Amino acid sequence: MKNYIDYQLEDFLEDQSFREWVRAGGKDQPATQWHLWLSQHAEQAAIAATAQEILLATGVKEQALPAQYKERIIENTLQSVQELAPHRNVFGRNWHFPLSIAASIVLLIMALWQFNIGPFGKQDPTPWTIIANKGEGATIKPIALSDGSTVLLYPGSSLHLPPTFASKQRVVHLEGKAFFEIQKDASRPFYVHSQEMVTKVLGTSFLIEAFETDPRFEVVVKSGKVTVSTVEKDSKKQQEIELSPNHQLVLERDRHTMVKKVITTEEVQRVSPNNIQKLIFEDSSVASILQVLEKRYDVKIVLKGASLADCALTTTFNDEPLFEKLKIICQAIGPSTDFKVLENQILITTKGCNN
Amino acid sequence: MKQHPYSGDESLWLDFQSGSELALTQLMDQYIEPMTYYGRKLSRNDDLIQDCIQETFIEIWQYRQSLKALQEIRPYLLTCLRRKIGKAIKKDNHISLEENPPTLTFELDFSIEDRLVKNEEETQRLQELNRHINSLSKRRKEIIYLKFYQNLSNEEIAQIMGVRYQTATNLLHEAISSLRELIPSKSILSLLYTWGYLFAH
Repeated sequence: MKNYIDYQLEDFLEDQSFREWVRAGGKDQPATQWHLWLSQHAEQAAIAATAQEILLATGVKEQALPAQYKERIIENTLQSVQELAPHRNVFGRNWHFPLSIAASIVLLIMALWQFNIGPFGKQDPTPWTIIANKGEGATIKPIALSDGSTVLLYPGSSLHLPPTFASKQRVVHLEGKAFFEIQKDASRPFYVHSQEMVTKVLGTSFLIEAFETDPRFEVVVKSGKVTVSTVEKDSKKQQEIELSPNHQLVLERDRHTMVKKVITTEEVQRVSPNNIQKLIFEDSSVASILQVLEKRYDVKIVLKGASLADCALTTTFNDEPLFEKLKIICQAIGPSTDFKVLENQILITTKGCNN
Repeated sequence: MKQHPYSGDESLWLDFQSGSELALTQLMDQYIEPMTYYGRKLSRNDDLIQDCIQETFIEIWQYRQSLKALQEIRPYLLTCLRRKIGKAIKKDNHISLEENPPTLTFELDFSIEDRLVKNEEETQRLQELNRHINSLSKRRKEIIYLKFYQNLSNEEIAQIMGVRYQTATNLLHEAISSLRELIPSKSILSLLYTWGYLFAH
């Protein structure tokens, strides 16, 4: 028997039997060994109580494995393993016979699912990419999407991207806070999923703040039209609200309510980059144009290669996404000029104008 | 399938190494669940996790004879899986503008075991504690998870996360110390009272 009398907080926490006792309902079960022991050692009760509180605040909710998930892995693995060894012992085979039958049934059900466009048929086999802004230095991370849209990811947030956007819709997942400038494409709506909230747009700019640990989510619309809906198990409870520029939506997560209100342009400017105000440059130096963009989007733009001191541009910007603006600038400077994202900076490489 | 012929990890592993498909099947039946739960903290893609688990088992089967003897199988499998998922994420990173591929990060938000919480006051305390736990670094959270939910020793945790034993021990120690400071003595007194009350009845 271990020496529980000398147990410190860490010892209780690190004791598997103690953890199991707490999670099984702990102190409410008088007939357990731990209950008995603690009632005899009152001097240890305070530490044990603290340990219990920590364990109760450190729960993990695991989503159950999908039906047949385990069976599928076992069957797939056994199949591969048997293919690896063609001259296997026939006598060793009998024991997994029922498993093969079970697997055929699973395959049959899956085939039927596909005809009904069930979840199995729709699943995308290639994994998504996670881009995170770990929040060191509190800089915003610019992300260029393949459709020309720009995402400015705030510290402590992450964006989940599919390998490619589908032909009918563009879907991303956001955890935390980001400012979106979505490239207009009326035939392919853009969806941002954040926990139980879905934001749908065609082409616009807006800010989402949805940290998993926050009790409320927020969406602020800068330009265009945005539809926000909740994800509910019961589809009748699903709510949908349409937002226009200068609208702010607050989702109270525990009460499942969404409230829309109008906020002033100043307030919108305060929480999001100044991206839609028209910019007119007439024979302006590239350096000064980049400076204006840096300031408006609160991102860092670094120049590498030749100096652009004597390059001048005449151009007008409206509400196109940041990376579209940069594309226009780079094309105007010359064919040798290009940009990419490096950590939280935008790097422009060039050999000078008209090169 | 539910009745396992092998009762100990050591004999199960030995038979697995000698080429028993029965041992392989029991290995999978026992460990697919904890592997999936851990995998889900490293990737949100269930298909990727499933593939990585499958590949892990196929690979250890192929190399079974050259693997060393094991007393504990779980930490070994979790180490393999973590490595596999890391590789898979790296390989599938495709965003051309992103120079450095995202590294493996542990994503988990601990929740409150609300089924075991009785009153409002306790809920509030636990919420504060929970907020603090969730604000710990990802590495600390990973250690807490591996310790509390995969029931691993510090040595095994260090092996899985690829850090030195001392580093793992320190991270866990720091995490727990910072939590201890968060629990005011007053609430301990009230807890004592609660416990005393419970024991008296």
